[in-house]
Amino acid sequence: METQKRNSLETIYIKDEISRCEDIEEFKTKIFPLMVNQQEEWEKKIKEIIKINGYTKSKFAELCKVSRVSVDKWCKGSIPKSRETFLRIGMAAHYDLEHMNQLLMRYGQYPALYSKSLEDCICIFVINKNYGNETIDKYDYILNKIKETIIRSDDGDTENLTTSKFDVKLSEVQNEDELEQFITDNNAIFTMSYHKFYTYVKMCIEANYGVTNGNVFELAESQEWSSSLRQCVSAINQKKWYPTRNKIISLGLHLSMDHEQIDKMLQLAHMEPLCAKNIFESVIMFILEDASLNNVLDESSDDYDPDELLRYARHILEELDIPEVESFISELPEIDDEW
Amino acid sequence: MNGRIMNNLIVIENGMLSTYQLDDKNVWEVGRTCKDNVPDIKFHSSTVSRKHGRFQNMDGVWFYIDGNGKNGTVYNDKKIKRGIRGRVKPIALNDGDVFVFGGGEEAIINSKTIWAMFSKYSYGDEWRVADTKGMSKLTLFDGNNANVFINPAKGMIVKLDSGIAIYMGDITYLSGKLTIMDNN
Repeated sequence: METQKRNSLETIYIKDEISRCEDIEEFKTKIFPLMVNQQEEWEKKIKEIIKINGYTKSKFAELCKVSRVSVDKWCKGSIPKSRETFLRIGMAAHYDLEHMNQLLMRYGQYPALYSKSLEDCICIFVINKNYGNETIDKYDYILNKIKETIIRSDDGDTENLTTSKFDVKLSEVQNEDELEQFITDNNAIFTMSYHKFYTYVKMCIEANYGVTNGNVFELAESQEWSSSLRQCVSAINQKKWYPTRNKIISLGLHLSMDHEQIDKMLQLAHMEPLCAKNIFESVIMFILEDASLNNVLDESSDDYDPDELLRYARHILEELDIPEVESFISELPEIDDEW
Repeated sequence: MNGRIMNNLIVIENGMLSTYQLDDKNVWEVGRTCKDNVPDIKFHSSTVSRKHGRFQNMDGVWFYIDGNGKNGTVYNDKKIKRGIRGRVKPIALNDGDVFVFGGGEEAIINSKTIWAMFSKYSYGDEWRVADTKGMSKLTLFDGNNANVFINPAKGMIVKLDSGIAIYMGDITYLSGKLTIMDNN
């Protein structure tokens, strides 16, 4: 409890400091030193997981579905960029639910396991079943098998269960066949788990760009969005996208959303708001605060450029050596001479 | 709770309570009525803009989109502001969300502002009005259970098993079987 309170106070302090930074130089001087602890703690934790379980770095990389180089980077304090990777690390560490949630929230700044999300539901099941060294294989096998079924089938009417009741029903599932049946029976709940998120994105697009049905392809064309981001918007239209944190942030920047709106998207995707203690997200927070304060994207200006926020974000991110954001940066437009 | 699930907007303007069943149509324009403007949800206060905002349904989710008028809208105690480059920020609504239209920066409830609540429950049209003028202690009875509120704030909402009460200072609106006792 005390640790949680301390962490929360630290986060408020860092957020406050970010909002006071006048420029990127001040940000680097003031904020970066505050981040060191988190990276150091992570470095200690990941080394401990690998050592206790007797893994070689190659074996651990294979289990986590990343390259050996990535594991090397983790061992030097670099933090994995996706929540799914954290799930794999937790399963490879043979964590129970409590430790898995700690790993997700403390080191990844991600939400705890959420049974109404398909991946999490299966993760909870395999952890509860104590599959030992087969945990990750079981997780992959069941997930792949069920994803095909769930995407093929139509939404049905499902009882509107609270998450705690849903947790209880999931805990009563005995084996893989029952799990598959449980997931098929509750397909609409999994589909609906991101419904409000999808609809929020569509409504923001419609309200600001006037395109009906959230069809954003014209905008994507004019801003030369990356193919992966276009695919993500297309998947949102089809209600088939499993949101990932960095993609949500990227989408927010492409749609010129402010801090509050990006936090809202994250909340609707069952994630924590932007985290001041994550080095990459603290930079994003700075970019958004600065853009709001300095009225970046002033439509009334003669020099108005709808991509200005994106270019500005790229300019700042490229200037800083932040691990594992290459794919994020590659989605932002190239910088012209202006910067 | 005695209501059934549906999407409603409960509006109180100048002592008059009205309920709009939002599911009847997809878009509800909100604004001040004048000769050439007849919105779906009609306000009369001069502090409200003619085209103040709109409630809109998308794929079953209700949103409020503010028109960014002069006196604006406060949503759950926070003034609705535009985003970067004046971008519109639609608000995805949840049961119990409260609006104060035309009150400037703060959620001031008076004769010139309009109070509204988005509700996923219908409390019917049979609202009763109780005189609570000068009461510093409000006692609400839900059957035999007494619920006491000391120095209640205007706009306080109390949801109990048998109904809902909305305290507005001099008067309190009651639905269902809730009753009120004069403690003074």
